Amino acid sequence: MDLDVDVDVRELLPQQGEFVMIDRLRYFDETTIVSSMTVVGDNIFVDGDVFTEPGIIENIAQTAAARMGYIGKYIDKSGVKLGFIGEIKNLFIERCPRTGEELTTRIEVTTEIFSTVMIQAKVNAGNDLIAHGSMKIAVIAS
Amino acid sequence: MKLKDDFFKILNINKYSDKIEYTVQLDAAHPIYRYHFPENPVTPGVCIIQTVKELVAENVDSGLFLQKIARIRYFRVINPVDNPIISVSLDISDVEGGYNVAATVFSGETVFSQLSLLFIITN
Repeated sequence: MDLDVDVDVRELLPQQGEFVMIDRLRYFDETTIVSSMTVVGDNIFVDGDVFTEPGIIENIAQTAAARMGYIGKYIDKSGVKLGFIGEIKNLFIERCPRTGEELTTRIEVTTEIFSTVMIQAKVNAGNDLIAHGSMKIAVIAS
Repeated sequence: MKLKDDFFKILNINKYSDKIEYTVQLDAAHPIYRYHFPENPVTPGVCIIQTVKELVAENVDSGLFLQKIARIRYFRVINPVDNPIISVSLDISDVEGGYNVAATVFSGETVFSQLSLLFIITN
């Protein structure tokens, strides 16, 4: 199943309010998901006009969680899940984006065993690759 | 974002020859826990990273940028109601242009997470 339309991620994530760190779901298939987010000044991870490192990492984790949420809501109808970061490995941050920049985060699922998902992430701001690395997410029913 | 004296506060510091050990108190009433997650407060993994960064910054005279996460393992989630007081040990070593940091977040015998991070000096 491909998804090239917009989905409001708040339907897909257990995180709420100011801790939601993606705006839209842009693409979905079995192993790939793409999210987008515009960095705004009142984001809790923005210092001055800089979107700081934890915000970038949370953006990656929530993109992976939105994939599980999408599956739970629209595909197997098992409901929205809680996702926890189990492991982060070889994650590099090239630069922190500024307010006004739009982030596009692409995640490829490399392994999925029961409720554990290994992903490879690339975060772009425009044409710049600003962060990349791998993460393991553990998922439980919420 | 700055978490010190808001999301957490430092209760105690012990310096050893090879590491620094902080005892910190988490504020379970912090607004972040209203959203992460509703009615199920869990300390966000990224806030643990930021806490370690701010504790490292207490020991160096420069700004820091987290350039690389070599590895972080989160073994157990931290519920700030059940575990309001946690310990963070830091082993900081100089590398060219920055610091390698090995950190462990624990309480007694329970290890919550282990972090291996590279920070670059920004000013």
